[in-house]
Amino acid sequence: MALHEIKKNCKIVNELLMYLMRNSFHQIEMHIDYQTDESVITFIVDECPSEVISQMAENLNKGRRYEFEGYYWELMGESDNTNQLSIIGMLVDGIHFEEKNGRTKMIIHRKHTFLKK
Amino acid sequence: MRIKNYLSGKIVVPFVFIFLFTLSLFLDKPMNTLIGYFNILTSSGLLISDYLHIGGLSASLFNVASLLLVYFSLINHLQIKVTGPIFAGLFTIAGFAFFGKNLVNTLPLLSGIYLYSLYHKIDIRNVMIIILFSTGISPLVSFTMFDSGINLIYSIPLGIFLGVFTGFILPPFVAHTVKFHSGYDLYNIGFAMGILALIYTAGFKAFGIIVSPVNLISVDYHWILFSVLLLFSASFIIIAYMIDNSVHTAYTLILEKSGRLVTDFIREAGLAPALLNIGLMGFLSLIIVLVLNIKISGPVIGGILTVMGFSAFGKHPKNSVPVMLGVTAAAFLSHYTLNSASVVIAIFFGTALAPISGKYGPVIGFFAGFVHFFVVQATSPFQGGFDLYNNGFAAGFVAAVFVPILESFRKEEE
Repeated sequence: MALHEIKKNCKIVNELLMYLMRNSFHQIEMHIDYQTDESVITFIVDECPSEVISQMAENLNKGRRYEFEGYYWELMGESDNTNQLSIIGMLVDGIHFEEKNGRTKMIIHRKHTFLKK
Repeated sequence: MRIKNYLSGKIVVPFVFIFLFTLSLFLDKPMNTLIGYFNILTSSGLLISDYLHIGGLSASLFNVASLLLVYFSLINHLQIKVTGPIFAGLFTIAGFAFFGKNLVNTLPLLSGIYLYSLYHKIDIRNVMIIILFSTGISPLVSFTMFDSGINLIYSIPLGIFLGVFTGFILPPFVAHTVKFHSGYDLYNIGFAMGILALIYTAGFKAFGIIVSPVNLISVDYHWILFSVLLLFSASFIIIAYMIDNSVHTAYTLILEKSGRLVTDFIREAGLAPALLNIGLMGFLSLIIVLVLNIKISGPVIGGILTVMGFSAFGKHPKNSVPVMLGVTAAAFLSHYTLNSASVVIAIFFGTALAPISGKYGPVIGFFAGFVHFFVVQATSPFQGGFDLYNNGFAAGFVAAVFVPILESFRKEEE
């Protein structure tokens, strides 16, 4: 298992949870599927406005940055009025959204592929 | 088109070290350059050891070019893209290669971090940013080797050991300290290394070896260095317009950012606006040099190159100028001479606190710079001069005091 993998996943969840709550989502479902080679984090909220979706998609689909795995990730979840979506974007492989019955499912993938081969 | 693509991928770093290397060959006889370079490699490197004073201009430029070549080759070999923090790291190395960093005292630190990555079975790319900035504590290695008074047979292995050991423990420590100031000190590794330097200084003292900052400065090459910086700044702006001729419109995206860690301007706004920002910050620094009648020495060009480097990673005129004004006002109102080395260095390196100005406004940024100036005067003897990023050390304390107080008022407003 990679270094601090569990802690990084928890930090990502914490930061996203704060981001959603600051955006007035007060009923949030969360699910994490922690597999051997990948973590899949899912948030489900009601009626997510397009601005929130586009901000999350823009930040979390910019591409993984391996040089940030060893540093800066500790900043996630540290500030209560500034979002650090850009750091999450460097640590995850992407996000996609599914809409069903007025509910929005946000699915985030983080592969554990940065281990030395 | 091929040139544009190459510039996009590598951000002109190779051109910088080729230019400096070529310049070093023409400025002096090769033998003089080699003797000067040997003097640089065997000096203590303690803050402030201006290599222009110790080895001369040609040898100093050779030192800068050789360090850039080694670290850039490593980045290239590992296929790491030159983005904001990587660019900042490379330019910080280039800047401090004028006063404290060389191949002898930085490679043990690199080896230590490499051993850390092997021990934890992680890809070395994961710790590349730490490798670049870890070079700030390199005087620990050279002081132990050449200036501690210990017999060379023992001092050289001891210096290598301390460097490797420090590199090995650095990654978890720097990741931890970034929380202390919530990412508002851009030179976080300087803060972490200041604490380590304090411990090492105390350790040496316990064995009767006194570590104290030195003051070796040369201003003999002012106009040559001014011209080099002018050329670099203009080149960045020209390249920015070569890539995108309407870059100034996208540039406003950068000015909107607070600059708090982690703000990679290349990722957030694009390459051309980031290059324009680097060039503009270079010009801004040169304007300060002219207005305050500053003579460019090793630490001053180091400060300006570091400012330019971090202009891809957090600094822009809007968040940096208030902090610079705060530092200048503090020096003006106290007993310091405005263009003395300690003041000038603080003006440039004090911009580590630019995110405070970017986040809480220029008035707060001004006061952060004001307080920073007094703190940085106290931290240098405190850490003995092992930590070249002394301003980063001081800025960590300033940010740690300012940020929680300011955050609490913001919450009350909400």
